Amino acid sequence: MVHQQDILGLFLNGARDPLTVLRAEHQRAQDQQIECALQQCDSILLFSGKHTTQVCPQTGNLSTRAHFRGKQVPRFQEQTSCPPPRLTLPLVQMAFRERLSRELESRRKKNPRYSQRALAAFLGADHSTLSQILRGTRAVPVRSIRLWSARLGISQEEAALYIAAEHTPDTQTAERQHQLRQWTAEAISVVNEPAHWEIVRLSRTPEFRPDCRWIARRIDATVDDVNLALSRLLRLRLLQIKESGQWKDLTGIAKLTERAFRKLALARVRELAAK
Amino acid sequence: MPSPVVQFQILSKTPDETAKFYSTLFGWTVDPNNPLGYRRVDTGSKQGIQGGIWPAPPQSPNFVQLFVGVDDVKSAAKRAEDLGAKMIIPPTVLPEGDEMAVLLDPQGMSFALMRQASS
Repeated sequence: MVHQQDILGLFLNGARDPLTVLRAEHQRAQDQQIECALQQCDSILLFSGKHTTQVCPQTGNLSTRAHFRGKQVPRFQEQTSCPPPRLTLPLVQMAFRERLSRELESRRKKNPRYSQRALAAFLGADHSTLSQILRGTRAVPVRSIRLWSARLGISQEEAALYIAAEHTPDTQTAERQHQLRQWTAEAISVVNEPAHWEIVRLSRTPEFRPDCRWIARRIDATVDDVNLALSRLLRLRLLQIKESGQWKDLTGIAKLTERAFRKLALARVRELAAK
Repeated sequence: MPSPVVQFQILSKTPDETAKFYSTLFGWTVDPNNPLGYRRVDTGSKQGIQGGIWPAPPQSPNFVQLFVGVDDVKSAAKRAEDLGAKMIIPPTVLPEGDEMAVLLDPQGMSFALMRQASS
């Protein structure tokens, strides 16, 4: 999914701009680590009332089905169309680096001379690495979360929570990803579904009737397909329904071809996505 | 002037199934016989508001929009934009004379402004 988003990010940034909008190569490796964590042992159990509610770290979808190692249970259904993940427990909001910071603070309260180096030595970590992690300039590898959690006496369940929180996109990134998915889906629909072009083409003909049922029959589509296309055309400002009831083509292209329509439609998607 | 919620709209990726579910559960009448093919929902009650079902794009979850009644859709839309809303569908007159616009509120939730032809 990330790879696809990078490609789509290229589209949305324009052919001349090679910048990827989303994650770099190392982030893909981290996604693979998350997958491994999820497959091995990382069930995140949130106790709510009489049942356990499980959060899929990747999608934020909730399920009341338990997922324990060794049991045959349905996997989470990843909904590519679902809203960005929002993990709301206080613990989850506290990234592992904050947990380490609290540990350091706690040790310093007992011994004011306790240093980061000492904590690093306790954890079996390089002090420079730990320093970068505490400053937030370096991500915490999954294996370090597991290892250091064990040394700090943090339970496996809590460690799994930190692994998920550490590798879940922050709210801003998640929202941007969601927006990109939305806009990309819009673009793909405009390109792949002929109803958009057909509606605009028909609107220019003398026999046109501003009736979605009539349009559906003419272009051999369902009324719902016509309605979806109409909504998109209105959103993309490619079509207008005037007060008189007339449908007005807003493309501004005198000799409108399907190719020209698609090119304009994609440009319009990019403009709106950029906003 | 008061601005009541005058209509609800369910956007569904499977509008026929949604129509069937609610009409079976609540006895709502669903009528698509109009130029938009819009599935108008009549709850059969004078209490509350009536609504409709519209197809949702495949990348969206199913959701509900509220249509708020206003006297002037263009002015209300401009006021909403001044308050930070984003226009999704600009003021548009529907085939039977209702006028509507769809916007995203500053918190990202969509809503619609509606001037009903009968008002």
